Amino acid sequence: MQIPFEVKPRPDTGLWNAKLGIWLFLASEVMLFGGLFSGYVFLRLGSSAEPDYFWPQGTLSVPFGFVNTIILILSSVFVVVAWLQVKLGDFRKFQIWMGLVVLCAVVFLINKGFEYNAKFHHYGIKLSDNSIVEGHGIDDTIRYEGISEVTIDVARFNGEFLNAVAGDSPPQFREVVDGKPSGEPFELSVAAVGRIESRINDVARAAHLKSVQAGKTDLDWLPAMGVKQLILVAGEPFSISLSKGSLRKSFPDGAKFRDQSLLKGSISDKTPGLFLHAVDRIDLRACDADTPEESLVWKYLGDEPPHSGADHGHDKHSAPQISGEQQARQAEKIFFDALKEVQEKAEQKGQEPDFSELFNHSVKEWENPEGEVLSSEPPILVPWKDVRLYSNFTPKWNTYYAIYFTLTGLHGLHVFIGAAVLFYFGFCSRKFYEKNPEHFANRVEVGGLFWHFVDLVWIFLFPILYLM
Amino acid sequence: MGAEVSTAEAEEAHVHDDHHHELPFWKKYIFSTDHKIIGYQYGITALIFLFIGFYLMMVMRWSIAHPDKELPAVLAFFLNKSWLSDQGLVTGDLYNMFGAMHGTIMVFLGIVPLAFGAFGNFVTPLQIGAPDMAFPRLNMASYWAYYLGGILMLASFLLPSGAAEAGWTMYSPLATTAQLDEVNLWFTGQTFWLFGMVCLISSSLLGAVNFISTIINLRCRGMTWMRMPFFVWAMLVTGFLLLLAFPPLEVAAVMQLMDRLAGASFFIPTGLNFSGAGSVDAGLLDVAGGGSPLLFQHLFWFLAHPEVYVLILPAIAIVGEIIPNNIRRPVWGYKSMVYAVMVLGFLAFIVWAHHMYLTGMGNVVSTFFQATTVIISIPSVILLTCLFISLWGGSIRFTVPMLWALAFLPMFGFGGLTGLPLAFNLIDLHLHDTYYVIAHFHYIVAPGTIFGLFAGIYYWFPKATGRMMNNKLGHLHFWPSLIAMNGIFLPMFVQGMSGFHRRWYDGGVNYDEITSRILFEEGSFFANLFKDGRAIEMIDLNVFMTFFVWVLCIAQFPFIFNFFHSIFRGRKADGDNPWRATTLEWSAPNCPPHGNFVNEPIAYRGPYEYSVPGYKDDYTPQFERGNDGVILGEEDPPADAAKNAH
Amino acid sequence: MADTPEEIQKHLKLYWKVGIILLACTVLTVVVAKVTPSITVGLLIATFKAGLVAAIFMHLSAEKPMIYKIMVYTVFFFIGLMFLTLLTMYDPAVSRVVN
Ligand code: HEM
Ligand SMILES: [Cu+2]
Repeated sequence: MQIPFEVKPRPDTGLWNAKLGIWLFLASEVMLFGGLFSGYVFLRLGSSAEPDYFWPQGTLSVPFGFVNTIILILSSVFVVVAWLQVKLGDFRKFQIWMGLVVLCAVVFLINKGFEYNAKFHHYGIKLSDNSIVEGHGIDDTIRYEGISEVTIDVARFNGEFLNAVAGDSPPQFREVVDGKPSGEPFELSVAAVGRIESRINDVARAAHLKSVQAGKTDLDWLPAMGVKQLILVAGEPFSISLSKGSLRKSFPDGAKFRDQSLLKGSISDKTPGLFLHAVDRIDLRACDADTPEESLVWKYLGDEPPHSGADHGHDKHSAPQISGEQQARQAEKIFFDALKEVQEKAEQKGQEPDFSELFNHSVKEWENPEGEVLSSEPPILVPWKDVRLYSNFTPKWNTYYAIYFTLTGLHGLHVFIGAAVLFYFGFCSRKFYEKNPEHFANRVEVGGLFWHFVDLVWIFLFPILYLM
Repeated sequence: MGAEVSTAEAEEAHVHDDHHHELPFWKKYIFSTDHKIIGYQYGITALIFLFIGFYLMMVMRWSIAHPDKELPAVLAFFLNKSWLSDQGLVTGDLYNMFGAMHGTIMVFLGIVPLAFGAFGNFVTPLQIGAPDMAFPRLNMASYWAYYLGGILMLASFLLPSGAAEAGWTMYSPLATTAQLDEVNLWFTGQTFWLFGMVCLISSSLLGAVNFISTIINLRCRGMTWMRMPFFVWAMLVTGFLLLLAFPPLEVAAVMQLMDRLAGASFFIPTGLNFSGAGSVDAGLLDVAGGGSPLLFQHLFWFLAHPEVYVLILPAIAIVGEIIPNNIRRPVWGYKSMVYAVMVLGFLAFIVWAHHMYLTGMGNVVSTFFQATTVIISIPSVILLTCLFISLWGGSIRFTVPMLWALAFLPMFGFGGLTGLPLAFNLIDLHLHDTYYVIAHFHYIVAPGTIFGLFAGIYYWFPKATGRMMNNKLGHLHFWPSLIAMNGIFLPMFVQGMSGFHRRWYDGGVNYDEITSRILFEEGSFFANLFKDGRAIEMIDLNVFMTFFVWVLCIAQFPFIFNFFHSIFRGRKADGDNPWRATTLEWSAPNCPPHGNFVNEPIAYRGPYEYSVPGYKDDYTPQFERGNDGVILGEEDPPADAAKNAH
Repeated sequence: MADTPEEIQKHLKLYWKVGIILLACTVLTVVVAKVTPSITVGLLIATFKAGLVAAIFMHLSAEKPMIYKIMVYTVFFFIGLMFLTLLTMYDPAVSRVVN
């Protein structure tokens, strides 16, 4: 059986099947990216209605985006040239151009990889007064001390908190029955919980069976009748130490793990807060304080955790010998001098000062009007109670990064798939070409159309994400 | 037909070229690229899902009617016992899970695959005289993507969290924050639902590309646009609806995945505070906020309104084929139906926000959507009216497919007309999220679409298997189903108007003020009949409806038996054209071979030439040249021939 | 599409020219963005570039009517998708932003 119009166009529509097919597919792709773009518009406009959310602008590296745009445009030219070579019957040249296209795609993706990586290693902290600090080198270790009581969820328990226990000897636990510790001390594990569960359930099931025999109920035993929670006490109070990010929830007087284990204890003085090693930007636009001077940032800037030192020296930008405190004052000076400059300029022109430029500016380096270059990279230690949100620059940090990663991620996926298909045409399809060059040219055209579309999407992504 | 044999013979030799060697079983029936086999695969899988969805609904209806009674063993047998309460009752969580999955399974895994995947695949190429779909391998890929999506959805029932439980609409932030108490968020029902949807959407997109390409490019000689059967038109429009409406939902699914798994806040507003009930810990969520729940609703309904037309158009189309065949007259107003369906395909995209009146959109926007919604009922009514008027003066044959088709008309009418009050902003404030809405769309989808699909199964069964389905069993299937469907859904209008909320898992026992309204006074006829003279309250309708659910369930057994029995033992069909129909699929042999047609199919005339004067039979098939047949579309036809052709 | 070698050569030239215009436009956007960060100008240039890609590279300038029909239909809804979500945030009757 031969499908008609696979190669030659149908006379009345003038189209061969795959050409029609790819355009229909592109139509759906238009709607796919349309949905994302409309999400972008929606979120961006919505952010202007939020008093404490400023849409980040100019936070991506323009040179990277620029180079990637150039690469995609070039590859788009290469792909049509390659297609024309097929039409001219020159397979070798076709392969060369196709090779260049695939090379472009690879370079594009590698570039993207670098960009993503930079974002993964850049952190932001939102303080409880909505001030924001950003920088490198985070330490979110949190330590709880004096833990003696643990509540576990029988169905979910996976023992993860045991891995966070500080010290060498694993704690011994006893069950709590009717408010009192009872039974032998034992070492906690998933299997141990399973044993306790089946022991308790066996007793309950036997009791249930009795009441069935007594005619009080005709229900079968149901899992919901079994035990759900266990309360355990430790023989000796113990401590845990772990990254706060791996907790489900942390309270001043306890910690809840992802498997719902709840540990009661207090936060150690050794880890009083979240530590960022090198702050490079401070944004007080959303700050609740009446004046920028009163922001919590200045209170905590320059602080270092008690045990700080050796293990944070990894950042190669780390400032020379001056102390954190000195750096903090330097940063403060940069910030307020710049602020004053903006105000003065505005006054001269008789306009309202526009601070957005300033708050987008880093405190790392600044040239004051006298031509003096100041630089600073202070550490900050934010007490846990004043941390509203912290994250690296991933979708979690704000909706801008969320849409950035979603858009570029999906686009990158398209680049990858397109490149794989073109690679296949270029380097695994010689036989097909020799059998039916016209059909092959059609295929290359279809692949090319997809590739141009991918380029076209990027043409929009570049300005809306990098420039505006 | 005979006149063309000579040219067709050459063609035939060609057709049979590659088919002298038998394909191995797995290539022929499992990873097949033949549109008919893929159609059967879609059909069987979708029927299985329809029954699963039906089962979920039975559990829900039990809980509504008997919130204080233990779930009966026949129903409890299939579910994970740890979902039941310690009294053996259906819990609110279980109800939510089954409710969400009932909707999802019925819409995305049952009806669309059956209507579009199965009937579309089987019938479309045959009706336009094509040997197969334009992209057979893509066709296979769409089936398997659908299959994978289905497996993911079913697998989600086996996870510790159970399946998704935030309604078939998966509104955020409810859906984003559901099942957050699980250890691994990747392995929760909500997450599986999203991945499943991504598969299903991809499947539909591939399918849509394939259908549209096929219809545009693979029509046989003489099959001009206005000679296409209405079914094909409907498939074309449905294809476009899927093609352009589904991508935004794919986007929404990806965004919700980002919210769940990467901690983004696309749909989470700033400062969302939780009480700690349900699966979320009390307090603020550890996210940035700044997102918009409305964005999700827009993206969702941008798909989901066109989707409801995807649910109904194939059924109208099937009925549109069966009615002319069984009244032995052309369908009345073929052209207006074609234009109506095109207009529908357009308007369906600009009414979506009528599902969101209660979200506090601006007045102007609400008014706009109110206007478009009212307007969209015009083409719907045109379709229905054309089919109704066709009946007038026809000599109706009450075959089993015709029974279903005839029942379809008023049922769809009910559903469509009750949509109109909902279209009005002000009325919708009262009716939104009540059982009225449930009744509205179920009248369209259940006694509407599903009846249409049954009609199609009975109608095309002989083409697919070469045997007829049993007539008596067909009646035994039809009549109880018709009664039960109305027994279930009619009271919902009444309940809805008096304020029954659509998501009460216990039928509203705690909402006395609404549910204890009196329906029949103490001592009245019905009160004596059903409740020993005590007054019948609104809430008693729950028991009534649930009773009919059991009736409906039992009424499906004759069908299941009939279906399998007839495949092997059914009466042999009387030739290739047992219904004496006019469209091209009846010129292909029964159980059409790979490549479909023995002779080159050619359309000489319009699709519904029944009772044409001057012919000895009361039908003149498209493939019959006769003395006035012309092949349009190749060269300019003579003026008088064009007139005859339609 | 062109099939004689001469015509193909002519197309080759055209494609390179378009490529160069696209590159120039990219430089232009960056420069403009440095001078005035205007959203409108950025989008206009991008739309122009996208138009070139679609018209020349994707041959939309000389396609079959069927493709035009499909794309017009699509672009219409694309625009609807872009603007109606936006529109629902405003209430022109009261002319203010509704959160
Ligand atoms: C005849 C024209 C129709 C009109 C004017 C109409 C109007 C409406 C309106 C305004 C709603 C929203 C009610 C609310 O949530 O408060 C609605 C809901 C619904 N309609 Fe229709 N409708 C029509 C036809 C259809 C058709 C043909 C279907 C096909 C299945 C359908 C399926 C649905 C569904 C599934 C819902 C509820 C979705 C949900 O909230 O879960 N409607 N309809
Ligand atoms: Cu709707």
